[in-house]
Order: sequence, then C-alpha cells, then structure tokens
Amino acid sequence: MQQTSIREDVILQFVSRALSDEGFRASLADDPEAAQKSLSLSLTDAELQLLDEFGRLLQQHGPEALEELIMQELQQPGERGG
Amino acid sequence: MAIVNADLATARAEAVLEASRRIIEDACQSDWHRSKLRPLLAVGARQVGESPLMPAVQLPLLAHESVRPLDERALELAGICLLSYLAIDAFDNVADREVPPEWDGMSASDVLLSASSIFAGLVYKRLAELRAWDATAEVARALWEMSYGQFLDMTPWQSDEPERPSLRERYLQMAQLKAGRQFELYAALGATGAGADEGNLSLIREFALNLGIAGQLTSDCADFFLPAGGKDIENGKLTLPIALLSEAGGGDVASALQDIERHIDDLRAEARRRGILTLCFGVIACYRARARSALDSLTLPAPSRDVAHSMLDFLAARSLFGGA
Repeated sequence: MQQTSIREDVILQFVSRALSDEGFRASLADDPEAAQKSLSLSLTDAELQLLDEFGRLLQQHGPEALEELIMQELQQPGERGG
Repeated sequence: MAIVNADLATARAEAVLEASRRIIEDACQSDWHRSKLRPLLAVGARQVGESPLMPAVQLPLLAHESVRPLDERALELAGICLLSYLAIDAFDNVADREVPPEWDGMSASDVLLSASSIFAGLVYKRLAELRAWDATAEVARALWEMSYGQFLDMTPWQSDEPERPSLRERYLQMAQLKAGRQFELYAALGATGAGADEGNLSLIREFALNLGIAGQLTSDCADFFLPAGGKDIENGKLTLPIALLSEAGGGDVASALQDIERHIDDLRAEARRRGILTLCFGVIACYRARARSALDSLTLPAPSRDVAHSMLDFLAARSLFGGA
C-alpha cells in the first residue's frame, strides 16, 4: 500500500538544500534516488513523488527562473478564500 | 487559466445564490428586516459573479455528489454554506478594516449584527427546520474551532503564544483553523446531508481542509511578495514568508521584522535572495498534493471532477503543479 503522508519539514529541507547546494542540484539530475537518500530521511511514496516533481522543476528552470515563474503564478487572479 | 466546465460551475453558483436569497427572504419578518441582510447578499452576488468556483458554493455540492446525485436539499445546504461564508467574511472585513462597497453607509456594529444574526441564528434555525442534526453539530464545532483561528490571526505575531513556540507552526495552525476548517465545514455539510459513510466523509474532509490551507498560503504569499500587496503587513498579520524569514534569521532580519511596515521592501528583497518564495511554494505544494490525493480517491462524475480540479488550480499554486 502506498504511503501518502507528506511532511512540510521534509520538503523544506529538500528545497533548502537544492537552493543552496549546486552539487546536490546536479546529483538530482544524475541520480535522483541517491540525491534524495543523501538527505538521510526516510521518505514516504507521496513525498518521493513530490520531491521528484520539485527536482524536475529545479532542473528544468534553475532556482532563479523558478522563482520568477512562481512570481508569475502569484500574479494570476485566484479565487477568494471562501 | 480557464475553468474547465465553467458553465457547470456558473450554473451551480447561481442556483446556490438563489437558494441563499430564498432562505433570507423566507426567514425575515418584514421588508425592513430583509433590508438589513440584503447587503450581505449583494456582496455574495458580486463575489459569485467574479468567482463561480467559490468553495462555499461548490464544495458542498461536490461533497454531496460524491455520495449521490444533487437534489433540492443539497442546494439548500449549499445556500446555508454560502450564507455562513458571507457572514464570516463580513466579520473578517470589519476586523481587517476592508469593508466592501455594498456595506456603504452602515456602521461596523450594524455589519457585525447582520453577520452574527446569520451565523449565530439563521443558519441554525434553517438547519433545525431541515432536521439536519449532524450538520447542526458540525457547524457548531467548526465555528468554535474557527474562532480560535481568528484569535490567532488577529493577535500580533510578535506576541507570545506559548503553546506554539515556532512561528511556522503557529501560522500553519491558524491557516488550518481558519481557511482549512472553513472549507472542511462546507464539504462536511454537503457530505453529511447526502448521508456519506465515514470513509467518504473522511476523504472529502481531507480534500477540503488541504485545499483551504493551500489557498490561504497562496493568498498570503501573494500579499507578501507582490508589490501591490502588503495588506496583511498593514494589519500586523503573521504569514508564511514572515515565519520562514524569521526562522532563517541572521543579519538585520530580526530587527527589520520588528518594524516590518517600514522595512517591507528590504524584507521582500531579502526573502527573494534567500529563496523564501521557493520554500513557501514547497509548503503550498505539500498541501496541494494532500488535497489532490484525497480528490483522486473520491467518486465523482467527470464534469464535477473537472470543477474540483479547477478549484485546486485556482486556489493553490495554479499551473506550475497543474499536472501533479
């Protein structure tokens, strides 16, 4: 059975490392599984899936361009909270 | 981003607005009494027109439909959800000093009386008439929990809140109790009204709760990072970028955060330099993924599933994770 829990701490640790460590970003492209293991965390299937997605975005755009894309996202009109 | 099945979302939004209008028209004792509550409906009509995907309208119907086809009772319960939202929103607007034009000429006390007469009176009256006892208990529990979230939201973030030592935990608790619990309420009302079993109810709650939190986070990040934002900062609100910036600490961040309104441009630049925007996006992606996972497990007709996905895309991080 798939483990579906996702912890914010895990994602924050992954993103922090990916933003600050160029070597880690490079290893995400070469061997994503090994890169994720290097975080010394036990990851659920859902977390692995999300980290893969994030890793791909970082690889595809690089940290600065990804930030710009997120800014563009925030500028799109969204729904009201209610 | 286009709404998939926009016609369906719009038709449902209009039907729910009409149900809300009927509830008020039937319950009020005179035209004068109705006139006290009509501004609330006018705000609702404007918001529904601007945002047919409004969760207070769509979530109860989606939740009902995950159990069985829609009927008059489902619309009526959704109408009650919309009225609850409009009352809560009016209260929030007064607290944040952002009173919409429809309330023009009314004092803050008038607005608060109208709002509280809805969520402390009319909502329970109508639910009791419908003999929807589970829904009545759900509203009572949700409003109580949401009021705690409101306390957290209105308390200056620099003040101590001993149970939650970390600002991030405190902020996420607030987002869960305010937007998360509010969305969960709408979904739970729809699901219990349709006679959902425990398994289904739990999934629809999970979807709505995480959708609400993701939406709150996205909206708060927009307020912090976009130059046109800053309302939350003016109102002294704690948001995720502030919590993460404070956690990162260092340099002049701590002292700048103490006088945030004055240093907002510097703090925005510092936050961008430290990748706080991407970190925030990572947290939003967590909640988005939780909502998505629950939604995938729900049984829904295809057009309604499209509406649910559109809601998720509009509310939370929109297209970057559109396929995730």
